[in-house]
Amino acid sequence: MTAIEASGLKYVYGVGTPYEMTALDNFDIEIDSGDFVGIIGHTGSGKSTLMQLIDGLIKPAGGTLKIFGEDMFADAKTTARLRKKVGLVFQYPEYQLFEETVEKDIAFGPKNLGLSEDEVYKRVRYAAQITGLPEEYLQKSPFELSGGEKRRAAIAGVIAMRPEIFILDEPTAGLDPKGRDEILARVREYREDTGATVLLVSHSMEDVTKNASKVLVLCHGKKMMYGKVGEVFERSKELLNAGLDLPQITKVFIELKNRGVDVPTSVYTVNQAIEVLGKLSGGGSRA
Amino acid sequence: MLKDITIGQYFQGDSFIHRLDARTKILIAIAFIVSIFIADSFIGFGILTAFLVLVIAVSGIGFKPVIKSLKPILFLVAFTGLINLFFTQGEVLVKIWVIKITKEGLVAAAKMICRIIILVAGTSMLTYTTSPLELTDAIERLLNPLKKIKLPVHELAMMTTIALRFIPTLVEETEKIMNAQRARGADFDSGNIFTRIKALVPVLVPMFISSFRRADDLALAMECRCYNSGVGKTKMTVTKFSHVDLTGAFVAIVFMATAILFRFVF
Ligand SMILES: Nc1ncnc2c1ncn2[C@@H]1O[C@H](COP(=O)(O)OP(=O)(O)OP(=O)(O)O)[C@@H](O)[C@H]1O
Ligand SMILES: [Mg+2]
Repeated sequence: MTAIEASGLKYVYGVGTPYEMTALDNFDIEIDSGDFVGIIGHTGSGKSTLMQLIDGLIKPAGGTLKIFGEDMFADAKTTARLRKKVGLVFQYPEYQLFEETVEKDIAFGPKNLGLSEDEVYKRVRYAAQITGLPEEYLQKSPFELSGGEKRRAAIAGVIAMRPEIFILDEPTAGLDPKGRDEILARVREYREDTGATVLLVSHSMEDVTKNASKVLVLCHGKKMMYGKVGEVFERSKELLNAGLDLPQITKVFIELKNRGVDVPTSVYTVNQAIEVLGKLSGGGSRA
Repeated sequence: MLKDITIGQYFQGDSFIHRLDARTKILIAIAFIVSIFIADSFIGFGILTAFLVLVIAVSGIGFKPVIKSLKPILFLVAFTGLINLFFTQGEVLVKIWVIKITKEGLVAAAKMICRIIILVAGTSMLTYTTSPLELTDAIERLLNPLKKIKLPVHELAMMTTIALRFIPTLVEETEKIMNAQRARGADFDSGNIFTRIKALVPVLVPMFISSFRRADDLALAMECRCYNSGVGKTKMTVTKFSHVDLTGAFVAIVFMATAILFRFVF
């Protein structure tokens, strides 16, 4: 099934002012339900804008957006109903914490969905468990937590709404490598548990290759590529031209090829690399 | 909604209006405000509006931002209009139950609405065409004589600069946090006044926290650069009055004087 379908989507900031800015233009895409899509693009390429459109927070200037086959912007009621299926974690989500306790803060979303107290209670525990927040943290003030813990609490607040489409806008920005892997592992766990479609915006190619099955590349508000991770990273020249980075391991293979070693340049994980190099030396696969 | 708050916004340009000395613009703006209140006639308002239209046209900013600046005050305009309409005594035109509309009320309401609109549009033009830096520099220089009576002019100017500088930032941040809470199902646009006020708590708490954090960061950054309240500070660019200012002031005075004259002469 198609989870998200956009055609001719367009968004303009500051209409009618000297600062008018087309952030997204003529954008088409089809994202299948259950996919884990990594979204990359240079700063200002329109990633956050696209994510807010998909969550129905802003209205497009043109084009259509369908969520599970229904037009997101048909009317206010449809938007309100479809938005409940989408959960968006903003960039630096810890700044949106406001309640007295972590528990109350995580419960904010589910309460707004109009769920019963019992259900809210269950969802809060579930979200805390998925994000790895210990039980005793629930009674703490969110402002007493460390940066990484705050981030987790904020993500839990969205997970507690049990979105079918789960969007994370740079969830790992400003975290240490261990913290990043932790958070992303939690996201994967949520997806395996619920079968949700996940969209992950990230500037880290490693985050994308380690987690996503597909990659969407945005460049100046337009779709540049969309496809399987291997297919996208094979087109390394175009990516570099668009001001993007490549996974470290892909860079190594491009360099090897440049120096005359016969290797494919579509390698993007260490495991693949081991396999390819194993074949090359005639030793077969070690993995 | 919040995007309509354009106070403190500055549109870069190189028009005649932009080139006027900020001090001239401030003085003209003050004179403009005073004349709005003295010129108590519709013809006077018409002349002041003509002046404003001329300024907008010359500035090259376009009418849209100016009209936008009026949006947030619509409620205020409607409210003052209604108060004037219903509570002015005089010759009764329509009477429904206890509410009566008088001829005087109608005139007073119309005048009040004109006044507020011209006032807000006029003052917006000042900030639209003057960079915050020029603006506060000009305030500081205009207030300079008051240093003699120990008024901390420089500090006041600095505070104004910072406040103006942070309005757009705060608006942007509020918008962001509102969207973040909307993503968690918060609803800011429905319900009665009490539910709406309560709905703002999830926005206000993070805003307070981030304002304090910002203030802290800014103070620290200023200290790191050895900020010392402008003791012995010199200006990088010292603006001077020129013939441009003379022309501008002359045109402004002609318009305002005519507007005021209409009240007394005719
Ligand atoms: N609130 C806004 N008002 C005006 N312009 C905006 C606003 N938000 C974004 N833009 C502009 O729209 C364009 C796309 O912004 P967007 O936030 O979608 O980029 P992004 O890909 O998420 O970038 P980043 O990687 O830095 O988060 C940018 O050029 C930006 O300047
Ligand atoms: Mg972004």
